[in-house]
Amino acid sequence: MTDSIRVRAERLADILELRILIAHPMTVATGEGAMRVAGHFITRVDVEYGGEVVLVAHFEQGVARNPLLVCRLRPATQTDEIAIVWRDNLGEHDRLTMMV
Amino acid sequence: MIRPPSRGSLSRRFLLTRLVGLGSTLLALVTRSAGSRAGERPQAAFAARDETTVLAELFGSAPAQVSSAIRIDVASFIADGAVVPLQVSVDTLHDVSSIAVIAPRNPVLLVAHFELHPRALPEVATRIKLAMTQEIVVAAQTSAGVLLNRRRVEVARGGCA
Repeated sequence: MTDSIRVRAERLADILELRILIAHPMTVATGEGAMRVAGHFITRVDVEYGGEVVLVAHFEQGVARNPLLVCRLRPATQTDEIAIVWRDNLGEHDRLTMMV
Repeated sequence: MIRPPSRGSLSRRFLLTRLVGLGSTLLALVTRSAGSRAGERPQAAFAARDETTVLAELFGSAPAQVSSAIRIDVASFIADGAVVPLQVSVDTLHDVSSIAVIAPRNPVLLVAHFELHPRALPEVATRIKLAMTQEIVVAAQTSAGVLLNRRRVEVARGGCA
């Protein structure tokens, strides 16, 4: 289900800006005791660039639905691969790679 | 005339290098035990029920310094707390290794914790939920200590349902 991640990569002067949008409900836990319904939320997003992890975002239920993550990197001189990986508290996950 | 090193000077050098080695090992142990470890989810910070504990779990017990170097770009009035655009940057020449976003009056106080590799600039943006009017806290671990700043956001309708 690689279509859960969309990335817009933009090279500004000496910055590589990534706008990462992930389709995810990001629901919160509700109810008490026996009525408790667990939330469903992304716990972690890894951003890899040129084969190494450059940013790890640890999330909880307080991040809005369909999470947006914008980060800025110092770009490599030539085109390189980025990878975006997310996983949630129910064990679902997805990964997208692209050349930037 | 060059004298062969006496037994005394040898053992002194031995002792000194050993002491330095021991000192740096201890320092590494102390800095590691203070705050969360790289790559690992800061579980205790997410579970913490008050701001002080969140900060201590993330950054250790050293006091954070309030600083305008941390810029928090967020609207001061929000109609719907379910989607609050937030941009954070740290204006410093020191290395920034992590940035935490805390909403002290949300059910889960720690909203997000970003670990930054030197390749990543200390600027991140996301969208968060705010349960009610409160002061957002953003703290950053820099090579010169922990910096912290606050920004009040009025929320008309809470967004944690």
